[in-house]
Order: sequence, then structure tokens, then C-alpha cells
Amino acid sequence: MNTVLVANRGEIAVRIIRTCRKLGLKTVAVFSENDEHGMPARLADVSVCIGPRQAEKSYLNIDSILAAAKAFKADMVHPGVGFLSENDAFAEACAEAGLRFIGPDPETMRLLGDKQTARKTMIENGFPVVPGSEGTVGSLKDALAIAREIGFPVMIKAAKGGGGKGIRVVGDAAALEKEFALVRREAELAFGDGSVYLEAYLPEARHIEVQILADMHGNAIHLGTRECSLQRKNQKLLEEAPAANVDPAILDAIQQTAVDIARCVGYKNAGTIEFLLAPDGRFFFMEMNARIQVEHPVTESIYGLDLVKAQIQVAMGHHMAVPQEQIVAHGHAIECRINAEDPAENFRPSPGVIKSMTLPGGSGVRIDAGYAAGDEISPFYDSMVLKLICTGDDRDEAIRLCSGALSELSIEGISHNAAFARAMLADPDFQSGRVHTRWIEQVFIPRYLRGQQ
Amino acid sequence: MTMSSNETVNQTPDETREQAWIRVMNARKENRPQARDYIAKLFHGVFEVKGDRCMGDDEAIVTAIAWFENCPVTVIGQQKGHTLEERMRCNFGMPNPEGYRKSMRALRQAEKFHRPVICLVDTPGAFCGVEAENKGQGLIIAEHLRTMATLKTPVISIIIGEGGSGGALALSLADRLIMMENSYFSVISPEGAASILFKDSSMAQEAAKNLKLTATDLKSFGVVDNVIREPEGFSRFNMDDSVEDIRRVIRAALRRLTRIPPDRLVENRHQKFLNMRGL
Amino acid sequence: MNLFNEKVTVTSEEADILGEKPEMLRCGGCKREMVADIVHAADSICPYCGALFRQPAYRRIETIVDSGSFIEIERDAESRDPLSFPGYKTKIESERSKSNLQEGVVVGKATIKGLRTAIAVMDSYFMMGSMGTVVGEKIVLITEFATLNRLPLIIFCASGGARMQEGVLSLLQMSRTTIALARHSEQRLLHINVLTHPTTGGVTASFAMQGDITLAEPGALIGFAGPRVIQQTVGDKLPEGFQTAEYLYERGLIDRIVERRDMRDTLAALLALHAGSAADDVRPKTSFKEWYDDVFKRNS
Repeated sequence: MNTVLVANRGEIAVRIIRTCRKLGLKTVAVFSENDEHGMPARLADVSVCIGPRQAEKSYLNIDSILAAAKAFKADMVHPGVGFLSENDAFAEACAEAGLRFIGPDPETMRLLGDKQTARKTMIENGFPVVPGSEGTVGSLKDALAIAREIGFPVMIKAAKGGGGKGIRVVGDAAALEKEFALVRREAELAFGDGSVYLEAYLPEARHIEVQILADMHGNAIHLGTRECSLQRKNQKLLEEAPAANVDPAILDAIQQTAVDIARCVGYKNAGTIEFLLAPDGRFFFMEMNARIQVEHPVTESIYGLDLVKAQIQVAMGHHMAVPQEQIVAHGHAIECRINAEDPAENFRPSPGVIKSMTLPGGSGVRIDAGYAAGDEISPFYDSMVLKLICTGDDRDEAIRLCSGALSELSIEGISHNAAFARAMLADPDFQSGRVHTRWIEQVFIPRYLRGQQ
Repeated sequence: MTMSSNETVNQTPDETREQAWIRVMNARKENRPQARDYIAKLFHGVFEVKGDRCMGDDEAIVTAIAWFENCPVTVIGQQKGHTLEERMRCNFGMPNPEGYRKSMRALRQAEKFHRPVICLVDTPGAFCGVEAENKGQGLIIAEHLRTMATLKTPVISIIIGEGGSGGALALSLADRLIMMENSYFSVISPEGAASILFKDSSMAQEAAKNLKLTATDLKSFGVVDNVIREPEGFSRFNMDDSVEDIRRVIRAALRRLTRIPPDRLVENRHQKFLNMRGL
Repeated sequence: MNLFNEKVTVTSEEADILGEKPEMLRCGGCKREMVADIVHAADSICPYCGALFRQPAYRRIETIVDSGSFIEIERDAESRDPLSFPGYKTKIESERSKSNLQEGVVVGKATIKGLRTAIAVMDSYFMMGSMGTVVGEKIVLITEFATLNRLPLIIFCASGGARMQEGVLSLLQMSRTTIALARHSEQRLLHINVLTHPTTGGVTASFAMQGDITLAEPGALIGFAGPRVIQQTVGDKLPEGFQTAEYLYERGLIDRIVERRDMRDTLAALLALHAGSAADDVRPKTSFKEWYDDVFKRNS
């Protein structure tokens, strides 16, 4: 057990390779023809091209990746985030090839990957779920009936979706009639499966998630909460740990529910359970992501641990030895995702070559970057350049630290959203915790654009 | 050295090697009878037909209509040339696509008129030039083979000298395959084999032995039906005895083959080759 | 914080395994070196420049036919070494140990988009795809099978020519395959050839050029004589693009050049076009087993 193949790219691949190096493990990076000169290829012990830039021919090409693992005698595979990280067929193929997949079992992935099967499982086991359809909704007629029962507005969600994709909010029956077939078709094209289910749309709900870690021997713990309400088009822009401005009793209940759910589905390795917290204090299971998340650093910061290391240790069969009571968080962490996009131009992607970068530093400042000066942000993959994680003794400190760090950050050659993030941190709504999942789109962006004039 | 076609002799490896190489050298001898020599002796009333009706006339192949005794036949021969001038004209017996196309024309005409076909095979190989490739040398040999495979008239092929690979095989998909005692039939020239196996074309003698390309070898494989003796001093000026033997073999073969209905004839030809499994 | 009982330990010997290099291939187009298994997992196409690598037979079959539909026949056919050619048996053993290929061609039946067909795929990784008695016999057998069962036949050709070690018996396979295919053609059955890189020698001069339809892969070397021999014969430099599929296409020797990613669709379309040409009401004359046994009675 000493060679890890990193089946991903960009920032998360770099993240994984760094931890492997720390542990003395050898690394194999795979890259598409587009990423030949990227950071993962430079940092890994060996790197190999597995296909042209189209994801399905490279980063999603199970045959190629397994061939690379075999060729370079990898023992373990870390799938990162996105791509094949929640693909149960990949997990199974790894097992068949004698490779240790760093993640949960294929069966668990199948259960959780189908969002509506996961929902059903939660309902059957008495966990609170967002009001909605029992299973997938077959026809517009059924959809209308369910929507009338749970009340508008409703969300149409793709059963095989994920990462915020395949979701539509409709405010009334007419809109539902218009969008229903469209969402099904989009889901078919994007995920290969057009099944959809309905959920009540909870206005002004907050997205609170819980980090779970379970070993292969039945021990499961939670590693606190994260607030991820700051989203634009269902993509997270800023995350915090722990969730602030929430009644501690409710947070406790959310955390305990999460561990119960993890035990219930027999989860292994790291995962995240996402909840919606309504203004009246009710919380509902939304979905469980059977992989490590992009925003994991904020959890690492307040607990002082390395989640990727923990993942690898779970996969190696190590036993968790620290009981939940002894796991205590300190301080508050905020993560800003810096993307190559132009907020003033409706967040149009701004691909290009990074001419130079000046990065902040100091106590409590962490940068997880997937690119260095001279690297190209290509238009073929996601536009995230780096993550800035700032940790303070309390939330106000963290906010000030983050704001200062953002002002120090400069990237030449592309447009990016650092100034936008800084403006968000300064906003009174944000500072007092009066945010929800539509806050950025409905409240902050109009405010920001006005401020720009 | 003469040998009856039915004798088998126990030989030492050295003798085998020698014999194979001797055969090859004899097959290539300058004064050896060539196609036109045989045509003059075996047939009478010879009318040579020329051209491929497409691109030109390839002198490496001779096509003619003639009488064999009292039977009209089509003759197709590969001519190498006795004089330098003739050799240049005939491209040393290495046909171009035009030559094989001319031969196919002769075959089809023979089929139309129910004339038996007699092929005289003697070539170092099909010509491997740029233009030959451009005009589809591979394709034309493939088509020639296909034409012979289904030809509804008897075909007798005689390897009179060099049976050089595909260029020779093209003319040997026959109802009867005859070899002169000192001819050879090989998938590759001994020199070519030597340069591949030993990286040294002067090891051609050793290669020739390994290739099992003599008439005796081919008889033992069941590929060849008759081997014609060549007496001491056999040359184009001293060929009458062998010609007599050939005449006898052709006569007997024709007598049998012309009696078989065309469909049966073709079926027999197919089975003959399909049964040569070698496995 | 360390959450676990155990520590991650990696001994230094273990950590050195990366020393042994996997099998590499060099792309003829962009000249980069890459891992063979990865290239073949990517359809044997260079991920950098799109140039085609020679594709192993079993992989080719996987990408062309409907998943799980391929049934192989005659997999274990072995040469008798009829010439007792020195070193031949050893060479065969060593070739067989390189991969799961037993000989230079894989034959069997399959469906492509539901349309039944017989298929033969040559593999130039096995002794340069040279045609000897086994390759010839397997092609004859699959052709007879197709004739009996009224199936079209698709042959993927790839060969360095006739197999020297079996002498004139290799040469003879040109005649034998010709005959089998003539009989197949007589039944008004479809024969499609796909010429892949390289298709040369006795294969070009026999079945590879006898199809009803002749397709080719881009850039494939297709010819009768080898380029080196031609070079020696003519003495001049060979013309630009000589003996490539595109060159032959210009000279009327090929019907169409088909990209690897379009091959399955193209073949399916051709099969569908010809599906009406063989009488549908003719059922196979015997069961596969009966035919198989009959063929081998012929030999013993």
C-alpha cells in the first residue's frame, strides 16, 4: 500500500498529492492532453496522459485510468471531487482490478448517488426530509398533484444529478407545466437519466452540512457543521465552519442526525450530509455526498486535522481511536473560492494564462491552489483557480482576516471574483448571518452591481 | 542429377541444403527453356493475343490461342528473356498490373469458348515499382486469383523455372499443378529469407534449405501433382525429352478434365485447395 | 490531530516499485512516448495528436460489435510447423506469451446494432500479422461458416505478408481464402474489408482486395510490395504519401476512408443496406455443431 493514483485534476489533485507526499506515499497523476503541463503532473512522482481533453475520453475514462494504475502499479485510487468520485461502476472496477478505492462501497454510492433513492431510504428510516414526492415523478399530472399537496414553490430535481446541477425552481402550476419536460430532457443529456423528483422549495433556507468520517470497522464520527448558503446558480462561492448564528441545540440535533444517517447506510470513509435549515428551526435531509468536498479545508482548519490523510487511513483499514467527545473544534474558518470569472459581466468565465500571482500568507491563512504563474486556466474544465481559507479565534476575526487576505491577493492575466468576495464579507447581511441559499442571487448581486456604478 | 518423381531418397542435411540450392540455381540458369520455348515446342498454330484493353501490353506475360494436338487451348506464360534486349522488354519476367490484366482477359476468353488454359509460370516475382503499386498490383493479383478460382474451364499450370511468390501464385490456382524437376516455388526468395533470418543475404543457401521450395518438397506437401524429369544437360537447346513428358501429362490431364461438367470441375478445384489444410 | 490508532508507514523498498517501466509505444504522428495499455484503453488513438495506433484484435472487436455478442471460434488452432522451420515453434510460443492472442487472426460471429455478421480481425502484433496456415485456415473456416449460415463477412486486414516459416503453404492460403470467398460471394453474400495499418504482401494480393466494399483507416499503409523493397528497386525517393490509404483512395483502389470512431456506424449502415439481399427465408442448413464436426471429418 504505497502508491496512490490521483484520478482528478486541478486544485484537488494537487491537494491529494501533497498529503500523499507528507505520508511518504508515491503518487501517479493522470492528465488529459490539455493538462500536460499542469501542477498535478509536475508534482506527482509519475504522470501519464490518459486521453484527449474531453472529460469522457480522459478523466471519465475508466479503462484508461485503470490501465494507468496497472502500468504504474498503483495500489490505491483517490477519485477527488466530481468526475468519477461518485461513480459506483468506477469503484467496482477498481475493486475488480485489485485497487483500493479511497471512498465508500459501491453499494453505498449507488444508494446515495440516486438522489431520490436516498430520499426514500431516509423517509423509510424516519429521518426528516424536505417535503416532496415519494419517489420519482413519472408524469406532469403526478407532478402537478404532488406540487399542489406540498405547496408552491417547488424544486424539480434530477434523480441522478449532483453538484448543484439539474435543479429548477418553479413558482406555480403554469411554470411547472413549462419546465417539467425541459428538466427531464436536460437530466437525460447531462446524467444519462431523465428521472426527476419534486421537493418543496423552502424560501430563505440555509444550507448546513455535516462532515462525516467513518472507518471500516463501524466507528463513525462527525466533524462539525459547515454553512454553505452562499451560492450562485447552486454553485458554492463561500463556506464557513462551523455554521454560525444557529441555535446550539439545533446544531447538535443536526450533527447527531448526520451520524445516525451515516451509521444507518453503513457509510465508510469521508462524506458530507447536506441539510436545509428553515427559518423556523426545522431541518431536513437534502442529500449525502459520498466523497470529500471542495470546502473540506474549513473543517480541517477548526479541528486541526488532514481529512485526505484520514481518508487514506480509512482505506488502509486503520481504526479510529478518538471518541466523539474528545473531538473539539477551535475558532472559525472561512473559505473563498476564487474563480476565473468576471462578476461584472454576469460571471462570464475568463479563461487564460496566469501571468503572475501575489498570494497572501501569515497565521491562519491557507491557500489551496491548482495553478501557478504561467499555467493556463482552460475553458474546458471548471474555472476555480484557488481556495483561500482564513481561520480566526472567532467569526469576526476570521472575516477581517479573510478580507485583508483578499486585498493582498492579486492575479494577473484573468478576471476573478476576489473583489466580489470581499464585498460579500463586508455586507451587513453576511456579517449578521441573515443569509440563505438565494441571498447572493436575490439580494447581494443587485446590491453589488449598484455599488459598482 | 535426375530423379523420378516417385522416388524419395534419404539425405543428410548437407545434401538437402546443397540440393535445394542447386535446384534454385538451375531454375535461374540462363539457357533454361522459357515460356516461348515451351510454346514453340508444345503447341502449333499459335496466335498471340496482346494488350490488356486498358493500359497497355506487358511483355512479361505472353498470351496466345493455340492448338495442343487437336484441342484449341489458351496459353499464358511468363517470359524472362534470353537476350539482354528481350530481358529489358520483358522486365526480366516480372509482370506489372497490365500483364495480369492481360492474363485475365485471356482467362475469360478461354472460359467463354470452353478452351482449356495452360499456364507456364516462371517469374522472380511481380514487379515492385511505384507505378505498379499505384496501378494496384495487389488488387490485380487478388482479382486474377478470383478469376482462376471460378473459371469454368480446365486449368493446368506448369512451373517451368522460378515460382517467385505471389507473382507466380497468381497463375497457379489450377486443376493440375506441374513442376519441372529443377524449378522452385517459394513464398520469398532465398536471398530475401536470408536477409531476414540471418541479416546476411549470402546465407541464401541455408535459407533455401529451410524454405522447402523444391519440386520434391512440394510433392511431399501434396501441393504439386506431377514433377517432370529434366535429363542431364537440359537446356533450351536440349529439351525434347522433357517436352515429351509434359505433352503426355497434359494430354492425360486434358482428357480427364474436359470430360467433367464445368460446375463439377470448379467444385473439384475448390475442394483440392480447401483440403490442403497443412494443420 | 491524529484520529487513528495506526500510523501510515511505507518501507523504503516498497516505495521503490516505480522503477520498472511499463510497456511503452511511440506515436508515429507526434513522436511522444506513452503507456501502451492506456493508449489501447483509449481506442488505440494517440490522446495528444489523434494519430492511430495499430489496434489489438480483441479490443477492436469490443469497440465494433454489440457488447457481449461476440462468439469466437477456432481460438486454439495451432500450426503444425509443416516445414520444421528452425526456431519457428519457439517464436510462436513467445508470441503467445506476450498477450492473450493465440495467432494472427481472431474469428467468430457477432451482431452489430443487432445485425448478425461473421467477423475476422487480424492482429499485426502477432508475428507482424503474417499469414501462415493457421491464419489462412481460420479465414477459410469463418468464410465457410458465413456461407453456410448466410451471414455477411467483415474482415479487418492487417498483415506484413505471407509467413515465411511455413513456405509455400503460406502462399497457398492466398488461393484457399480466394476460393472460400468466391463461394461466399456466389451466394450473393456481402464481404466487407477494412484495411488497417499495415496491410501488405500476400494478404493485399488476395482476400483484402476481393471485398464487395473496401474501407480503410486513415493513414494506413496498404500495398503489395514493402516500401523498402520498392525503394531499392526504383532507387528514387518514393512519392509523398505513397501507399497510404489516402493515396490509394485517390487512385480508385478504395471505396471509403473511415475514422475509427465512425467505423461501427459505417459497418452497421452497410450491413443494414445489404440485409435484404440474401433471401431471408433461407434458414441455416445445419446446426453449428454439425457443420463444425463435418469440417473436421474432412481433415481426418
